[in-house]
Amino acid sequence: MRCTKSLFTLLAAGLLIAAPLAAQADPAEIIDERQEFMKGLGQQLGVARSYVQDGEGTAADVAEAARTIAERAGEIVALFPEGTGMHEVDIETGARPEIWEDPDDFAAKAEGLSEAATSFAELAESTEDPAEIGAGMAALGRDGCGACHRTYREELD
Amino acid sequence: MLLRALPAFLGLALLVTAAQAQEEQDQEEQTQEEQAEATADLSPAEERGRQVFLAASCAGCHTAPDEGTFLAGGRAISSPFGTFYSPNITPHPEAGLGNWSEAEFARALREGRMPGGSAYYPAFPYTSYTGMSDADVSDLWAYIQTIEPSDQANREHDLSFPFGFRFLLEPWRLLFFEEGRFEPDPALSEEEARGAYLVEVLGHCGECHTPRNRLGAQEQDRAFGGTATGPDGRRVANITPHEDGLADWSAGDIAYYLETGFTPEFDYAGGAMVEVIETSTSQLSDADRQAMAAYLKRLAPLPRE
Repeated sequence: MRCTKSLFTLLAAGLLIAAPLAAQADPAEIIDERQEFMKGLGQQLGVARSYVQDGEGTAADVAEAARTIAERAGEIVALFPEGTGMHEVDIETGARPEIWEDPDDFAAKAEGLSEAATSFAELAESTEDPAEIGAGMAALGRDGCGACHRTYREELD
Repeated sequence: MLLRALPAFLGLALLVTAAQAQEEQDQEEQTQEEQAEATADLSPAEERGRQVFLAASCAGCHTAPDEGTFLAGGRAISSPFGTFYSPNITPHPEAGLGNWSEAEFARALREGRMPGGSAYYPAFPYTSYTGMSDADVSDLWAYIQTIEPSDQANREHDLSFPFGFRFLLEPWRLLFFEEGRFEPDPALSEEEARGAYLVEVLGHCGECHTPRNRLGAQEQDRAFGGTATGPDGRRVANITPHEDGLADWSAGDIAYYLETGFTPEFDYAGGAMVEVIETSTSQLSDADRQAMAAYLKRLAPLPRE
């Protein structure tokens, strides 16, 4: 009886420890999560594009979207745990192995996105000119997205 | 030995384009842009030449990363055959092209031969540039003269045996290099024909986007169909108007992507394409980007291989 109880406790404890670890280590889940996350950033960019191209919304909406990107950029590094690279999983992902070869640089690039998005927010707070905001969006793409993707993201298909 | 070496050789043009993305630095881009823009007082011919220069993506390979001197070469391009180092193309008389004639410059671009007659490795995409018009070569030459000369010496390629033997390039050229100016398909509109020239010749898009056969030659019946095993084993996108490619993209979507890197869903370009957008397509005119898009929409749709 005592033995069974200990065994049960041990198992329960094991499960308690193992469950979150397993959840964290499941590459499919984390890859799905980060792809949704990136799409979410894309939706914020869509706000800016709609304003520039179609005159939908306001410059203040664009600024708010840019602030959201700046804040959420801080979540990027945690979405790329080891073992979730494109050559390590049988799931379609463009995460290049270089991410884990130079994690400090990867983190710096994520920080760079935050800075570029903040600059873009400040621009959208200072002007309502669609052309200027359009150019600012291109700069965010180049300095924020592109600076990281050029090394760490596989070419799209 | 020759037969064994050939297939490897033939993959060259494909493979070397690859290593570029990883070695890139933001600073390099900024330096290049600043220097390209610093040439404010250009003559009309020089300004046209600068446009050719941008469309042909010269700076990407001919400037070393980490604030390398503009167009002074020295950029390492690694491949399974060894490492290529791009040459100095500034107008310095000894270290660069300063003592070349325009005819020698034209021959290098369109025939793939050095002034002395030796063949270039197809790491230099003369297989595409061979289609360049006389006017574009001449304007590009004029623009090159405006570049600050650099005395940076060229570095020898560091190739593994037997790829260091340039004579091996001769059979490769016989088999796979067809010299000749670009002739647009008469069925194309004026805009599409301009796009064809930008895509096929100056932009040398097929160097990566067209898969290679077992011998490393571009498979023209699969033109622009992309490949899962492109340069460096990296994926290269299908850019034909097939549902596996750009069928869902309007010409405007393609032009916007070439300008900004943003896809219609606001995903962003990846890999070597980021550099292409930064050093080349983002700096072209709207009309040229629209022309490229119009031509890409006219390509034969191909499924993923």
